[in-house]
Amino acid sequence: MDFEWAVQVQQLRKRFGDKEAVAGIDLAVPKGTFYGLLGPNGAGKSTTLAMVTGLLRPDAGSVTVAGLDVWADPVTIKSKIGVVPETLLLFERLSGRELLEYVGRLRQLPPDDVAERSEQLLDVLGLTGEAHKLVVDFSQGMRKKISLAAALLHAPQVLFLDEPFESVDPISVRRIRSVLDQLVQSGATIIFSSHVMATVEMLCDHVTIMNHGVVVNSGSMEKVRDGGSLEDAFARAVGAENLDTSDLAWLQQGELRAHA
Amino acid sequence: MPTPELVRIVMRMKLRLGFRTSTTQETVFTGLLLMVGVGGAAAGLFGVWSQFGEPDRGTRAMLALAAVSLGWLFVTIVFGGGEGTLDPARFAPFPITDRQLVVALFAAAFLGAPAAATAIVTVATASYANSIAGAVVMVVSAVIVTVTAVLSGRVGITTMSGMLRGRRTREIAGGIAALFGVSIALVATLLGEFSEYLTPDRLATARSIVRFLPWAWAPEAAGLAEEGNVALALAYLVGALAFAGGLLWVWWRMTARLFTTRAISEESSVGNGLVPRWMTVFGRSPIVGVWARSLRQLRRDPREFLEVAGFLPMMVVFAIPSFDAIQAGNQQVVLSSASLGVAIGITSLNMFGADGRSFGVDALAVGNITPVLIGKALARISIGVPLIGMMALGLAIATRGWAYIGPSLLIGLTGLLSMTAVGMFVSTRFPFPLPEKAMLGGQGADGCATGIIRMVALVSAMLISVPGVAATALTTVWVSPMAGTIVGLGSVLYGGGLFWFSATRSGRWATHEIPRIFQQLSAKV
Repeated sequence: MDFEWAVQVQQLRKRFGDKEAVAGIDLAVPKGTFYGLLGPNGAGKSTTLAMVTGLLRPDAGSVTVAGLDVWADPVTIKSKIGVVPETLLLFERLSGRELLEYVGRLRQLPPDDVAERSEQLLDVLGLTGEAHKLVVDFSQGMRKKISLAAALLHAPQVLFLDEPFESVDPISVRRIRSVLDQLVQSGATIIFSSHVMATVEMLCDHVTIMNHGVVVNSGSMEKVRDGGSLEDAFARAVGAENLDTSDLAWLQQGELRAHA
Repeated sequence: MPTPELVRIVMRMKLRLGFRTSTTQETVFTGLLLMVGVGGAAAGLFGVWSQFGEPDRGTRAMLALAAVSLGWLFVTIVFGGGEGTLDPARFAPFPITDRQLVVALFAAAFLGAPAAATAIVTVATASYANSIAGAVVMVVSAVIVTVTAVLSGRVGITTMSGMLRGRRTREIAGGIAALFGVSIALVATLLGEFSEYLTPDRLATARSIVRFLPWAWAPEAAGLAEEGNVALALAYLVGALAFAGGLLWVWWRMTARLFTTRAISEESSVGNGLVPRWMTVFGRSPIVGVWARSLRQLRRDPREFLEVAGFLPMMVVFAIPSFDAIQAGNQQVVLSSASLGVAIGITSLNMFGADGRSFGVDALAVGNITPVLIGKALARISIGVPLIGMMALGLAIATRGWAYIGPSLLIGLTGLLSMTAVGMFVSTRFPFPLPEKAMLGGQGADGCATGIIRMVALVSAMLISVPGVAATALTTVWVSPMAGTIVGLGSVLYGGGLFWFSATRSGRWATHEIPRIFQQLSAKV
């Protein structure tokens, strides 16, 4: 099926009690792009991604992924997407290799393909030596990597990553970046949220900045940066440009010594 | 920081943490603990008073005090491993020495209802004394018993605190705690049943053995003092004091080690391959994948393992009423093994509980939950059927009722299919996450309605399994085992029909309600 937008979101809303986590946002993610979703903690990024991937039912609005309505045909949608959520979803009592085999079986991939792809992914992500350990004994960075491997196993058309580089060592970040680059070059779309501006700036060609459940800036990287750095643009968008830290003057070493 | 200041801080912290409660459940739990402490002291005093007129009260006092002293060690090893208030490792970041810490922790260890109850009861035994010298020895003995008991508890907790850093050790300890709890209940029941056999002769024999244990030296001193043998009592007191000093030294060393070093973390390692070879004959479908994964989880996840293993004692429970029948050689007793099908089937009532948020892997990978439900149910059935077979075989060996093995298996399978059919319905409609630290006092997200739902589900499952189970059982008993086997095949078809109906309906419902189930399973526990 041919489609222009990898993800289209219209007037998406979600409320938890008194708090409106997502307050009617619109998003249009072009196919074949590396798309960054930015925002401070509690901005509504993870809630948005959960609704877009079918793990959270929105109160209102529509979501299409790869040209299909997420809530009308969830089974087909799930065969086309990969997800690495912020709070990782992993079966703790499977080994890394068993987890990939399990996901491959659920996705009904040929066993030989699963075995071959698993080994390649484990190798690229630097997990080959740890693949026999139970996930419950993995470090946070290893959990991120095995979760990414599980999300990549079926070569998804659209990949959603929520803070993919958190707790991951710099060498692995490099490896993951090259894997993701390769995926985008093959025509897939990656949507990821992150707090690391340098990484977003390096990888993404489009960004959306959210704050308090609404989109406060969106567009191509050049347009959003507006001649400055992404960090400055982000700070402007969320209203955190001039942070007053004068109250913390006591942190200066001279002050500490004076009280010691 | 001066040591007295640290002592004051730690004692205040223990009191504050002990009484600070965040939920109604914790408030109730703390209240219950206090009641247990006060109740324990009252019961102990009553026990001391009730033995006052016994001629062998010295022996009774000695055995009771020894039990108290040793009890602290066992109870804290089993139930006190999760205590964080006095965990030395938590003090590691602070600028204090291990000597200061030991002093502070030692003082704080005497705060609390159990220590107070122990002190009250042990000192009360001094009322047995026949002379002033004897009374003095008994009071000193009571103090040493209390100190030894508390120190034993500290050694137990510190040992567990060091051991419990590894996940596997924690899980094993959780299992041991559960089994220990069952054993304690059994021992208590047996003591109650056989109390009339506690004659003075037997008690004296027990004392002559128990007094070799160092925990019994101070109690033995009390017993000897009550009997007027003050000189020998003093000798035992010296030994008891030395033992308490030894315990203090051991605890000091252990505390210092935990305070300054970290235990090496444990890591698991398993062989390759998710699906065992025997299961490959069933194909490559997602159902087989979920089946294999669930079997792995039932074996590796202590929550699920204990849920299933907890029903194994049911084999004994079911077998006890059958003793007379077994002795009489009644072959029909073999049929009782089928009841294990229902017992194992009960574990299917919250099949997503241990998955928690991991349910998202299934939800995101397949979308359709029907194969997930079938795979999970098959895992329980594939455990239940061999167990039913083993029990049937055992009973058949005892009664030579070989012909009843077939009907037993078919009745058990029908029961399992019926139970898991209801289990699939309940697991999708009313899922709740099991706490990751279930074995260490973690609280589940199940509300008070869960028990009612489970009970209704259990009764429903039994009712819907009646046509199949009863037809086979009655035909077997009234006509013949062969006829029962033929009818049993029909019963399995009936159970299979229920299974398929529930799997498809519940699967379709769950597929539509994935977000709801995911949110219910995402509750923090």
